[in-house]
Amino acid sequence: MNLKPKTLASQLGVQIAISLILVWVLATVVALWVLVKALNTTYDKSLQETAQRVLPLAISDYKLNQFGLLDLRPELSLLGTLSLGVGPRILSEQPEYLMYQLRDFRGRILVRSNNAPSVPMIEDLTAGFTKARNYSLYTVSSVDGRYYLQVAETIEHRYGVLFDTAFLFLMVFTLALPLSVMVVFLAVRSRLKPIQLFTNTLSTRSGSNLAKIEQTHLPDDFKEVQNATNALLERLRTALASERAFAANSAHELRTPLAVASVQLQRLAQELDHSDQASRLQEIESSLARLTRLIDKLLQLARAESVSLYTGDPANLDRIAGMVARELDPSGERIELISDQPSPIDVDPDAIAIILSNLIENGLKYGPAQSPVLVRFDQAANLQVENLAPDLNESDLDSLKLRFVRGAQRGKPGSGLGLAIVGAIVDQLRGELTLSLIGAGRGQRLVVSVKLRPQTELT
Amino acid sequence: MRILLVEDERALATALCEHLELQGMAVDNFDQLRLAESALRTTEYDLVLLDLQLVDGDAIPWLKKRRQKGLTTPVIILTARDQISDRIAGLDAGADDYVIKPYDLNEVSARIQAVSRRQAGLATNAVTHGRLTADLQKRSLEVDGQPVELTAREWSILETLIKRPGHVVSKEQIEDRLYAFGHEVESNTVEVYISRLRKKMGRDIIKTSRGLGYKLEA
Repeated sequence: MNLKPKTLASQLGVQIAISLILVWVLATVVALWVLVKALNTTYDKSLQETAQRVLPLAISDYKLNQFGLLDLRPELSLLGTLSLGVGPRILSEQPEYLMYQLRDFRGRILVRSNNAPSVPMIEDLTAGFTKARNYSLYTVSSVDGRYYLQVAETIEHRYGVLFDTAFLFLMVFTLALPLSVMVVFLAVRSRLKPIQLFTNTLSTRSGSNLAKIEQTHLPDDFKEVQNATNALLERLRTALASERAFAANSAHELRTPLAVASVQLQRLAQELDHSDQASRLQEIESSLARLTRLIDKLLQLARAESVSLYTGDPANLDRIAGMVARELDPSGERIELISDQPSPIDVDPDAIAIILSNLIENGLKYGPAQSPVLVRFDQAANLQVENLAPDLNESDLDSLKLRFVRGAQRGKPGSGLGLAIVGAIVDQLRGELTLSLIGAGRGQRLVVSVKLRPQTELT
Repeated sequence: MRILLVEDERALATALCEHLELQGMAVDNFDQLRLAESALRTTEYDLVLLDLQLVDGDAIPWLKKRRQKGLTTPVIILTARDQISDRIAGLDAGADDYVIKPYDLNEVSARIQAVSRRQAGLATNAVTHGRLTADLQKRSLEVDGQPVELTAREWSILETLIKRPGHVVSKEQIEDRLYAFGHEVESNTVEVYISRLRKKMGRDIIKTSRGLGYKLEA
């Protein structure tokens, strides 16, 4: 299953949200690292300052205590929290984070704070910062080297503060991140709305709509896409117009000299009446008619290529079918139109006329003389042409769609292009062309069905 | 019947003119729309044969404009444009029929007759008027059930009268339908042909309205 988001808005949203989370995490890590450094420096400095200030006071209290003065007058104690190792003298119940031990050069504890252990926190008396077991401590010595004061802070306290700060960061992160992601999504959606509108305009318009897309409020960079799309549509319009103009001009240029030759021959035949030359003229006339039919078919085949680019009004199938039927069967004796009043269809009317004329012409030509050709339209504009075809075999059907293939009835005039032209047009319209035989014997009928797909369905 | 042919392909126009004149029609041929327009302003035609792609433009918008301005003369388009969309455009512009080149000359004649008949308000080609029974398509005539042979000119005059039964048709109107532009009109031609028609059909079928013209007796 592909979970990758498909729309630009969701892709951008996810991308920005992931980037945002990474930046947040990175920023938190860096901030914590800087905080740890700063806190360590501050705490170390405070240890150092405390040691330097407490040392003379602790020495003084120690000396007073040696002479028993503190027992007599405790208010003389400068630190007020001295202990001589035989029991703390607690002057207050306030929490204390720092502890100290005054030691002589032999390492014996002379004075210690209430919260300091009765044994040395560390044996080493080297001046400066040391980390030992659970303590961070600073050692300072008196000038004469007889006394050492070690001020310490528990690791637990120091990092407790850090953990509290990190927790705070995490809380802010947890609350602010979903909010930020939501804001990002909303912002992306709102900014991409004109682009979404542009895409919708393009995707919902029919294939025949080659009009310019006029949308204001597009971001500048997307205006270029709009301009490029409009330029492409313009080129399509021009190509379509040229294609149609070329087809019309070709028809004119090819048909006019044929018409001249044809009428001149007819006039000559009228003048020569029943002479031998007249019958020879008839031969030329029928060759000319054959050439005309071939040119018709080749022009239709050429036109088949551009039918999908149709941009005009929807086609009225009934009217077209009526016109084609009158053209091919002026007396109306053989063609029977059965229409279920199809609604106008968004397909090139010329393409429909070419399809109809070829199918009906085949039915008239290859069906038994005087047999009817049924032309049916249903409401969905699906077309069926049906005629008697007693000599056709199931195996012939596929080959009938090929160019210059004329089935078993080669004796009848034709170019073998009719069904190939219909097939080419139907392919262009992405429709369906099916041939089937129903019935048997002399009553066997060929049914050619064409399912047309209007341009609006092709988008 | 007087016909205006608008066709710029000279060889085609000549052959078509010859063919129609043989049928007893008077044909004026012009190769440009502006000349055709002038002719329509000065002459009353029974029908216009119109090519679409002419040197001075597309005839479909021209026809549409003429129809909007009140042209009622029937128009048959003769063109090489074979697409159904062109045919629809032509008929929607006001043409009465549409024939694609190359065409059969006899088919053109038949279409002219059919359109002309429709214009005259006749439902079929067979017209019965008093003792006359005429088939406009087949150009056949019977008087009291007996077939009568007519020449092209005679037929043309009878056709002019039979399409306006009971109405007086002036000598000039008849001459207009016999002669195209540039043809020498002899002063007593109409009288000669009327006289021949009377001989063939009977004296009392065509009445003379003195100073006005001729009419078919009801």
